[in-house]
Amino acid sequence: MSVSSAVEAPVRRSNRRIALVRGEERDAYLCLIPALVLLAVFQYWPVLYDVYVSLHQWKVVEQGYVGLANYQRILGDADFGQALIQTVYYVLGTVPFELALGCGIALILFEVKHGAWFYRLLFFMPYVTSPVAVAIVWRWVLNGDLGAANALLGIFGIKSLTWLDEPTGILNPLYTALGLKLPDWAAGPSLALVSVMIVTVWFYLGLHIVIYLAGLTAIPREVREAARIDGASSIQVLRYVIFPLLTPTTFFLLVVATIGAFQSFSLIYVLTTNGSSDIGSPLGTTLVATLYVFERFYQDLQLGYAAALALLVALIVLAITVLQFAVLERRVYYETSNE
Amino acid sequence: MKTGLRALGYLALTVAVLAVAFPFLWMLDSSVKSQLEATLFPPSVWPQQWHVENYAAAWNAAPFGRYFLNSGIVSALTALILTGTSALAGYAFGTLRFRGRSTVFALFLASLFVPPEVTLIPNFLTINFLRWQNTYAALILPNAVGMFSILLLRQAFRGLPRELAEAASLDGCSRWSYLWRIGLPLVKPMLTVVALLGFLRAWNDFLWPLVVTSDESMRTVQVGLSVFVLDASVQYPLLMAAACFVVAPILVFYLVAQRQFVTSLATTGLKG
Repeated sequence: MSVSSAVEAPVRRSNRRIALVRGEERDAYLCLIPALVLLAVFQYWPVLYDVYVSLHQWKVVEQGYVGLANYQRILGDADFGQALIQTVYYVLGTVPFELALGCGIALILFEVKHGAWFYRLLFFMPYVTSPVAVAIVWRWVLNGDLGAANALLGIFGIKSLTWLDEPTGILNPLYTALGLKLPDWAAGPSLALVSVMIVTVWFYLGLHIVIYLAGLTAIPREVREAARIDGASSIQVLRYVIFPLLTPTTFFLLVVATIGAFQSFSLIYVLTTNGSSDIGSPLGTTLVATLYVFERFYQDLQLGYAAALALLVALIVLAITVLQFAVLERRVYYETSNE
Repeated sequence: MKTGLRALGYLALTVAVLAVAFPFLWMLDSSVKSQLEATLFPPSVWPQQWHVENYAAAWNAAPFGRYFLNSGIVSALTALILTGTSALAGYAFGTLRFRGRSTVFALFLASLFVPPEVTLIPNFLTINFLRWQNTYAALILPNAVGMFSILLLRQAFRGLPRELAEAASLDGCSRWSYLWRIGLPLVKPMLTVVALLGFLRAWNDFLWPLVVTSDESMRTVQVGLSVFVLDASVQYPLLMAAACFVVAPILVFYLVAQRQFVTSLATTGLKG
């Protein structure tokens, strides 16, 4: 950067000299210091410190170096394995629905000429409100005895469900009807976890709609019209023009929503905690990985073990993201990168 | 055919939007019912009697005044400091030229890849080490910097013509007074977006305030509300009333500044 100045245009050189003389560089670093200090203390340092914490025994304060003992303990922790399975259920039960519903509603909303802003306003509303408040409202809506959801089912002659209080797997009734006897793990997520998934999709739907709408707006009008003139039906335009051109949006949302689902905490915590200590109720069937880490950290004060778990969860999320890029990105159609 | 399809589209949208809005309507509806009426099943659709005093009862059932004061202070200061740190960094990256700019920028960008679950425990320990438990500093400072905000303001500053800064400098205007008198006013729309986002995040934040506050007088509204709900003795109409006044400030903000909210939240992606 410094030696190459000989080939630079004279104007730029004089600019730079003025700049350096008047301390542009110094001012720039002064401007960066506040942000840099905060990032260093609360973003970069914690990554290193988490590794350190995970290699030690803690009980509020440090109790000594234990090597990889915390990591070895994870291998034998069946509860964490269960939490991971529940996390996978949660991710698979939310992300695809958010994408499909978000895309479908955005497609309709894109065609609507009147009142689209009003619909968008309402769809986006859950996402701006606090997870704690809406979780409380949903606990009431899904209440097993008095909830509005059961009243709605009653109108259609369906008997009441216990929603967030139901620990049995949703596939259980099916097995009973077929007269099969299968182990617990094959029963699928509990109805309680499915209820949490419904609330999650409800919460994030608006964001997906808005981002899909932005993706749709970016598709040039001529492209659709050209396909139309060539005799393509609406379905064909959708299948061969719109969906391929939306793949960058879909891929972006898939990656971001998967990461977000793995990190989801507040909504699940308030939906599934009873009293001050019963987290992930009923019977721990809604205890996803983030809640499990929180339980070890905040209730048991096993900071070393929780730090190891947090790091492992982060690595799993990273691995999944890398996998998504490796497997799916080549199927994404980027208009600009083609030529 | 075409009109039929359009009508079907409106129908589908209306059903979907009702499903999305229903919990909010139900929250309002239940918040004014008497405890007795709330135990009816199937529930009454329209409250038989309006018990507006539920709001006062909920407000007094826990120190919500204090919670609101805390959340107001924390959210406003978070928004202010976040906007300040982001504007300064955005100005440096967007307007100023200095050696090592791309390296430092890459270092800043790396913060986007730090997973929040990993920072929680170390940050908790840092706060303990500083003896900052139950302080506003602990509630504010970790959220007072954000790479997305910096990126938004960097873009805004890059959008300003380079000649502007040069002309100002030739006229003897220092870089600081250029930033204060010319640069910042010109990027004001983006400053508003960053401040709104910062306020919203801080107001709705739950996990971090939960972890760093143990003293009731330092709780934010979200932590206070969660304690309120976990206390099994509180009746549902009061809980709904409390949920109403906790989401009300944000919903008012949202309705007033809809466009800024939607675009800024959509550009910064899923978080929280």
